Amino acid sequence: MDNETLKEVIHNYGDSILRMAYSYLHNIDDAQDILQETLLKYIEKHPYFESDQHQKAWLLRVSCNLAKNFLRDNKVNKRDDLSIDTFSSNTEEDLSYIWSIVKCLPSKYSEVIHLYYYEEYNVKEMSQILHRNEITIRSQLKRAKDKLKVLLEKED
Amino acid sequence: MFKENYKKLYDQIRVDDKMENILINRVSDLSKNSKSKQINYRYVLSMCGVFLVLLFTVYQVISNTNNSNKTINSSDYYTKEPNVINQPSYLPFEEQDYKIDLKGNSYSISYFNNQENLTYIKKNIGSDLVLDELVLVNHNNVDYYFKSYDYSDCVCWQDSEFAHELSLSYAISIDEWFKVIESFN
Repeated sequence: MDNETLKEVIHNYGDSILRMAYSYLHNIDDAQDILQETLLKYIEKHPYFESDQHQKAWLLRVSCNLAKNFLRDNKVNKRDDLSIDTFSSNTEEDLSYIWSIVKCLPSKYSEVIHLYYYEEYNVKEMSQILHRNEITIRSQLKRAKDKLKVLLEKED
Repeated sequence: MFKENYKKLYDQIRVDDKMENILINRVSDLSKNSKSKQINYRYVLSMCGVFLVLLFTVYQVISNTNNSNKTINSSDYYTKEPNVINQPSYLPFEEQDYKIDLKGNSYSISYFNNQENLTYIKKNIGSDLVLDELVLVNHNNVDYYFKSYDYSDCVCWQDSEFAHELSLSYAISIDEWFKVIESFN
């Protein structure tokens, strides 16, 4: 695979992979490592994709798995090197409360929240990416939303 | 509201140009290394395959040499049951006419039907006996081929081709065999 193709993959899907990894690891360096590993897997496997959506879903699934493996192997707790200040200083409004809420969610909830709110996948697509039953995804999403609601109320 | 804010938060996480260049360089290097490793693994695996084939060939050559020089212990054959075949591919002898000379006596090898004769009759036979030729005996409609293996034992096959190749599948001692023959006379 040439550098141009790699560049294209990074350009098209790099941000999504990085964000997905970040939603698990909460550390930009670790998320970058996961992005790198995902790209290596992509080069190694060189899978056939039916569509761009399929390609993106594959890359996200790989990054999810790698991030979970990373968490398991390193037994890291969620680290927060990209501090609340870093986010809030870059934006006009204070988003630090979002950050603190997201951090409180278990990874099984944060991943569905991320795929649902940020990537705007539906339940069926999420079940394919996460290799979980649709009913499980639906119930995890509901629980995650309930938990978010409680946390948001507390924040207020 | 949460959705918008969540998006704003995560929009800040992106691959910038610097990160992109670093990633491209690193991934290219790592994939090249991994490819060369893969080639090495392939090379090592193919060499292992060649080595195994060579080893097997050498083993077969040694094994064949040993077999051709092997002194077969007749006791090995006593434990083996004869392979039952319906009919040999060809009959090297006319069983009714065949005669063998043992201790100066001629014995006609013919049909016999007493299984017990094959199993338990014992008799001491002189060690100078050599059966140089194959002898066909039909027992219960199964053909057996006998040939002396050494001065004290006789080997038995059921398959004529096996017999010619000296592939041994079953053996009885010559005293057992001789007793069987004697019982017909």
